[in-house]
Amino acid sequence: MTRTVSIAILILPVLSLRGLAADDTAPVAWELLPYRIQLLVAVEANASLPPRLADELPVDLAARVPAVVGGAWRLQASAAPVELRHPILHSLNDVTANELPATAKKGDKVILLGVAAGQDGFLVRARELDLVTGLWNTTVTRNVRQGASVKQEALWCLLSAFAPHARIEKVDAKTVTLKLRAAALARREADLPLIPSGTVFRPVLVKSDARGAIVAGPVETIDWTYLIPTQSKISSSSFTASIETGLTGSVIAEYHPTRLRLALGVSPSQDSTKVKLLAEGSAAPLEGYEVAAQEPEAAGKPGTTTSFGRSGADGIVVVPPSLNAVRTILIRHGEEVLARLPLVPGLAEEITISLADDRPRLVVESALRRIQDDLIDIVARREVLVSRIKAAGATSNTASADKLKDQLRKLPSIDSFLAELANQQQAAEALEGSARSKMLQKLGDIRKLAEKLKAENPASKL
Amino acid sequence: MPRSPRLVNWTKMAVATLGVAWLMCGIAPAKDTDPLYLQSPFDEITLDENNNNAVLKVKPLNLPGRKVPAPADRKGDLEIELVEQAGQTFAVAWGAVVKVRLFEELVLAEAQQRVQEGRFDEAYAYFRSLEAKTPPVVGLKDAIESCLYTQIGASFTAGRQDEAMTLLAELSGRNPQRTGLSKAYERVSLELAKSRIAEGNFRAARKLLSNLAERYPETKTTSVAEFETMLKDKATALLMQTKTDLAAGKLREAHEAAGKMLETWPAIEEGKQLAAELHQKYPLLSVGVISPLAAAPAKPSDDWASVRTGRLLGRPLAEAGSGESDGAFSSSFGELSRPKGNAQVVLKLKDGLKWQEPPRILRAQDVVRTLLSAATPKTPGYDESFAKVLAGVEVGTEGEIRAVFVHPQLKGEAWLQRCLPGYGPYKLANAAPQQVSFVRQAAYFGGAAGIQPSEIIERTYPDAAAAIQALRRGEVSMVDRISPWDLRRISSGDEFTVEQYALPRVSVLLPNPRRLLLANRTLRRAILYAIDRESILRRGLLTGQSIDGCEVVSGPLPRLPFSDDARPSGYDPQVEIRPYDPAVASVLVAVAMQEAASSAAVPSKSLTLAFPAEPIARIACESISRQLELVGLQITLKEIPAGLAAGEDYDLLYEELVMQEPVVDVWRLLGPGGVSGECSSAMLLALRSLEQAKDVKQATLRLQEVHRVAAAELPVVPLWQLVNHFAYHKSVKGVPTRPIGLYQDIEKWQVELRVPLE
Repeated sequence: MTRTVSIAILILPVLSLRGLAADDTAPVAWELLPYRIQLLVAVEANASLPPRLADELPVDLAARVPAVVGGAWRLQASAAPVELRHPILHSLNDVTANELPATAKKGDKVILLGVAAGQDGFLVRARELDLVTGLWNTTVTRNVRQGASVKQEALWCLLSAFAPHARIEKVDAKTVTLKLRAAALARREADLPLIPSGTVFRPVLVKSDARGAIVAGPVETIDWTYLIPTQSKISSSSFTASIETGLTGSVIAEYHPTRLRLALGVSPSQDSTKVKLLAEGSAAPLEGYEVAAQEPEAAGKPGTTTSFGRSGADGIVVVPPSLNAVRTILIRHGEEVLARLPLVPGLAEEITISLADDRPRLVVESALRRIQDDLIDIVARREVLVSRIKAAGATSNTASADKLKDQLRKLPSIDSFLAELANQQQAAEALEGSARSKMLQKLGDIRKLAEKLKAENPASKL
Repeated sequence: MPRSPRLVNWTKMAVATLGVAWLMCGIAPAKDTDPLYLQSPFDEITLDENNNNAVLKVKPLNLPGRKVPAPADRKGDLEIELVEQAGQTFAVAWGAVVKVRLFEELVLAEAQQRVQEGRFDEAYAYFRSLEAKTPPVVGLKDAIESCLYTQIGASFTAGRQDEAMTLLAELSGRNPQRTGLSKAYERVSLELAKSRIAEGNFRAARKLLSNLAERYPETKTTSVAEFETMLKDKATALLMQTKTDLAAGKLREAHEAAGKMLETWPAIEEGKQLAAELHQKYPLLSVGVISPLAAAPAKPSDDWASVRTGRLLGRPLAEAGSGESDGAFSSSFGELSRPKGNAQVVLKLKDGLKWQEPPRILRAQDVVRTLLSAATPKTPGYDESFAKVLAGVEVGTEGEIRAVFVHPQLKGEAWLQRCLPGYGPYKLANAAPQQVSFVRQAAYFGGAAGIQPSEIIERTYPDAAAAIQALRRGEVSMVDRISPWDLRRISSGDEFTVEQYALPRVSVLLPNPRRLLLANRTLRRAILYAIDRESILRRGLLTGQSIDGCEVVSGPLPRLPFSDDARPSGYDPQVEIRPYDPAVASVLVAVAMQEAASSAAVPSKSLTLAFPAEPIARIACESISRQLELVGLQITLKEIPAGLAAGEDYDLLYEELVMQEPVVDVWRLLGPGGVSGECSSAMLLALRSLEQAKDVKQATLRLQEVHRVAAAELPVVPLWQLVNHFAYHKSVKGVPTRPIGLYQDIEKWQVELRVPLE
């Protein structure tokens, strides 16, 4: 699936919403509202697998799920229709909502699960479509060596592919308080976390009636924004999450009685995402832009930056997954970070980011860096020569001192740097927006250094 | 200085009454540690018993002809000036003087002492100082001859026959009649001839014997005759071997035997005719090399051996003309054109070209496959830079091959300097470290049969000096690279030609792109300041010579000594060459370490400097290593054996770049996926701008911007450029002037039989 977005809040008309409890006349309490899930299973015919696995697996999973999640899920599992088997097994990421049978789209979620032959055994993959928002979750993958383990790993995939709902209760500057759906329903093992480890959330605004029940209508997704639980293990229905966003200002809308601020889970994936960089306006691929990830802090130390390389002529850089679902990616051109965006690798196969043409700024930056380097060298050369002249003077070595003084006089003139800075001033002033102010700021700093150097007479130090 | 009578009287009285004790207190023992001949001259006077046999050190006596008068002539006073009381003269009665030793005698005595101790080099320094004196020092001539004779004996005994022969020549020049000289000359000559024969240097052995016979004719029938008979017998055996091999069709073996035969005894009966007959059948060329080929190169490379032999093993689809100003491309496969501006290059193959064994017609698809393979990752010939510029290759309606580029290419043909595998004038027959041989491909289209050598053998030598010796003695007929410091050993003349390659090579240090520390441009700048490039080039490599085109450079592009409209250099002479300044380098190293620490990397000052195993790189890197250590970096040198890749275990790699077509080669070096690793945004911008150049003039200006960015960012650390030379014997014909590579135009070469001189 290819997704094209720009850095803005987009309104996506999606599926006609049926409501979370369309058959209920009165809304059930959020924490007591179970998920109605349809599971469609496809198993590749393979001699290494038990012969009746295709029939047994849906039954087996339906039987084992309650043992783990208790009453939170109302799961109906069945074999995938014939026309869906091949896509589930071989191109799960490309399956669209329209391909799903109407009978499967009656609850809250549809989860597709496939078991196919892999390189060293079997590949179990699962992916969820959230029917409330019309959004697909990432694909979760498990490599299985032994056929006997397939059922167990399929259960893991099923649980991991599940994207829980939470309601955004409160929004502070950088954190939100969330309330998890179905969290109060009985669970067999109270110690088990309420959501799979590593799950993050994306905020989605959906329409509701005055009583809080979701009604059909378009949903609003908030791009480049994820809510990351502040605790590693969620064991109560109410929990907090930090807001990671690439947008500025208040990214989550205020409370409104006819709008539900939903947080939809996103599972960590083993898949990558292609980030395609395009020029605003011309849509030409942007080449030579570095895409990197700012790793999270570890043990109190600032996180390192991991580079994924520079975009080629097609403007593409592949962002691989990490242990955390969300990676904060940095888009750099020269020394300037042009964008800082949270991204979940694998959530979309490709995303497009449009950026303003940065080449004029880069030309100025490159020239300023050259001047800066040369000034640093001049400072170093000047100081070293002054020290040597002093040393020569101390030993009454006048010939050597004179020679060094001559070298000092012959150092490149600061005036030539100031003239070059004046040229760059024009170029910087021709820039627009923040690039202009940043380059002018940098230029001003370098000019200050140059003028200080000019004012300092090295001979006065002798 | 006029003498004061009072002082004279007083001195006399002093010597007479106070005795020598007073004077003695003014004589300090010699404290100078310098050799005697370098000290201020003085004479030595020994007084009689009445003066306690005192020995006085005095300023050189003013004696006529610097000769001590005979006892009968010693009358009156001897005027002296004590060394320790300079400026005061004294008079000593000649009667009180029992012995006078002049400074010259003292120096000579000390020189002879050195000879006795076997310290000959030191003794010669004494002798040289005495030889400069007038009048001639008595006994000096005999002393020098004795010294030489003694040293000849010592050298002979120690097995240093070359040294003994040099000394004999010196002694003979000084005194050809010296007793024992003829015997010594004979013994040394014969011993030396024996070792030359053992080394296989028959030419030198024969020369030694003929010199001996000429100088001492009596040896002609005795010792010299004995040796000559031995050589003749050996040559006869080789003659038989040649005939046997020839009869058995072992042409290369026969060639080698014939070569040795003529080398052993050129005048052997039937020898020359047999060698000529053999040469006609199987012309063979031996080339002396320093960097041997380890394996056939899969793709364009800057490796010296790969560049050299690449032309033997594969004919490029497009080739630039040789010479200084001819950079236009052509193809021996057919007609090259650029029908749609610079967006594509079209090659229309000639009809009937054959390749492979058994021969078959070369088809357009064969060429397409080769080009696509070069742009396909994980294939041996994969060239990432080429892959990034190539949009596709297709065969047109008339069978023409179209290479279509992603962006227009001003020198698109240069990207087609790729060879079809196995489609060259020669094929690799055998590769060993000491010898690599190439045999002519029967199916090759480019050469007229029977003209170029049937086989080329590359023999490996440790350095150019050894290769030149091999060239002189006929072991090889060419030397592919003469180190600059060895250029003095050989020059163009009747026997040899020394030729220059068309383009200089730019020596650089390539930072390993996978080492974080080297990603810091401040550190790279520090490294540049830390290396005394001018000194390494002028003193270390050129050894004081001045060779046009050899100079320190400010970037990776070569500075061409001539204006070339077809091949823009792009070197910007306005860019300052950063001076050698180790103090500034130290400051920048400290700054770089701070920057590295702040970016969460673990800064380390230990760097591995890798270099290919050849003399120029070795000398350069040893010097660079010492200079980098002076600024606080710890350097580990790593020599990469010939033919092997540098791998990953290095921080800096010494490389000599061939920037044959800078418009294209800058991409291979500095572009995305290029040799220097990461291409910065600024560099990419400059390269893309270059790509849009409409003509050579524009390309030159834009290449200069690439040069300026490279000089500022230092993706490679520029050192210097070297103009390289090769040498060949006149028996090799058809070698072009100023070729780009050694075997350029090999199809036109002709090798005549080289008969060693008598």
